[in-house]
Amino acid sequence: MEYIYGTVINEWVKRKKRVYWIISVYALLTFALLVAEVFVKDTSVQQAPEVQWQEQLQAQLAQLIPYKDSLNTSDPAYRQVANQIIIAEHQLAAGVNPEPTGALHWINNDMSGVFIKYILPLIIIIIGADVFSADISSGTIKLFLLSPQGRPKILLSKLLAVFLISSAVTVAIHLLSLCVGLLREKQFGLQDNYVLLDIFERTIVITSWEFTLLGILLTMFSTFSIACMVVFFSLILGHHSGFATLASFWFIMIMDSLLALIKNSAPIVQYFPTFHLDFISHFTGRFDGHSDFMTSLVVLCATNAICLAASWLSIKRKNFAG
Amino acid sequence: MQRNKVIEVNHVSKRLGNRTIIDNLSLHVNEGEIVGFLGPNGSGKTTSIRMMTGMIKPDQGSIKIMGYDIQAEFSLAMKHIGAIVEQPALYGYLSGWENLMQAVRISGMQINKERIEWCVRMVQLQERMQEKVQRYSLGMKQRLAIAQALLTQPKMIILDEPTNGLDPSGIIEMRTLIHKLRDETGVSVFISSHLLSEIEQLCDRVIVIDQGKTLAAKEMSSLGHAAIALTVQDDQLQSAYHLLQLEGLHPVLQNARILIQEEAKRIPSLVNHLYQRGIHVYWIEKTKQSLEDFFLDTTQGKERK
Repeated sequence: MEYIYGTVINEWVKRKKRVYWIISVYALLTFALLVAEVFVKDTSVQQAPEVQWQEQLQAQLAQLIPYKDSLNTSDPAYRQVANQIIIAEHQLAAGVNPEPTGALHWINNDMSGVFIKYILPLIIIIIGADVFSADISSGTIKLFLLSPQGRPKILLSKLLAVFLISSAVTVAIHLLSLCVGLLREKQFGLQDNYVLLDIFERTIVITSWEFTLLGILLTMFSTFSIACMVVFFSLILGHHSGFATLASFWFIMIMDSLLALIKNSAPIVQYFPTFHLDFISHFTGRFDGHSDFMTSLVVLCATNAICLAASWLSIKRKNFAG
Repeated sequence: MQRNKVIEVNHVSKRLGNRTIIDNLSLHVNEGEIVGFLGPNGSGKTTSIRMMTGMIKPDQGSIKIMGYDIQAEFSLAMKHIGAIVEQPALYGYLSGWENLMQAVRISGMQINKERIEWCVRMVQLQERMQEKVQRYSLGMKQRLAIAQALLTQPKMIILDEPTNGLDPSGIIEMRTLIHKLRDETGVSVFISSHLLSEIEQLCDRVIVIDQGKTLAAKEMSSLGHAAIALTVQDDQLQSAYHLLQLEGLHPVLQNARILIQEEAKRIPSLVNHLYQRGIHVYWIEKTKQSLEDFFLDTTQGKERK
């Protein structure tokens, strides 16, 4: 345990400048958006009176239902549209606003979509894509190899370091969102309700703080999966630090966009791991594709297992001397 | 007096592809001993050191550190050695102190601040510890790496070419440091180097390897025995060498001279013997066999065989 703790602290010391940089850029962008919202309002346009959320939702439903009927059941969008209709109908029946006004909602909004598909992977790549490759290419890997910890512990501790540091950054970003939310909404909204789908795709109502906890848990699982992939590339392509970073970037952030083009003609493609990173979308009915929650869970678990096994074999056999 | 063996390498072999890099290598280092590891380029020195530090696995044989097998009991074995293999493993963008802390945290041992400061004092880097390592000279980096290796109070330090790239003052500092280390802590030092003069001044014993095999191991104290140097014409050097061998001597070629270990009273008859065979001896000097002579004799003697 001492070795693992020691390595995590070592990696933090080496990476803390990047972490401060990521959080600063994120804070700056958030601040810029807030400033833009406050000061760059178009006052020439007469604001329409605020429309009630029920009316908006009914209008949305009126568009979604015929759209669903027009889709083939084998279409990947069918499942998404059908789930959104189920949730919207329940929201109307139970009187649950889909856009709660508490500060926690600012965090919950960050849990899926662009954040999990692009921002989180980018953060993890910046933090960890060189976790092995920088040490291997500069020769400092010898510091680890000559310590009494042994190679499997080196792998485990470096993976944990990437996971924990990335999770800490994610939590810091969520805290930033919470602060902005508090400034705007003046309340936490802990008891705001959300209508979600459970793993059997039945509607359930949970409170805002429960949704936040669930989201953080699932984000951490996605973080772990991305960390496994990043560490794998960093180890396998260790002698070329820049190439290892590029490979991670290509596989995690670019490949899914290319594969999406052939998703319909080659159904096997839907099991590509990065399609399943947006885990929480299964609960909000926004998951893009045929897979259900259990399929995504299996795909990500299998990805983690394959990456870990391949990394373990590689570190056991690798001749770091080149 | 029988001393404990810190490291024992027993019949170790290693193949890389079709080539045998290390062939049945055996050696040991005793407690408190400074051992030089010599061999021409490509002789297998660094591969041997990599195996001794667990960085690569031998195909055959065993390596024990303080009795612990490096394969089966890696953690226990590695707790007893510190090593610098090739270049020092240091982070240029971190300070000297933080580099030491990096090693402390993954040592698996409780190392207090006093111990770290003692290591820093030992390598005389107290004034520069807060500076980034990228501003250090090569000699300072080597010394910092030695401080790093000393943190866990190892029984032995393995140094792979520690004087490579150092200027003369850096070499002298390194030599002084290694002597000081052994004298003050009793740590064994296993050191590979190309600089024979350095090994000669530093070590208690030398091991010579070539093509992955141990060619010779010799106490430095036995190298310095008085010898007689005979200077003959260059074109007669080989003939004189063979004639002296036929006389039951063990001559050693050193530049344009032949070294023999023989009593002074037999020299006139030997010179006369050579003269009768048409070989003229121009100079007779008293000298001693240097490490260079021993090394050349060992490695070239193998070729002559």
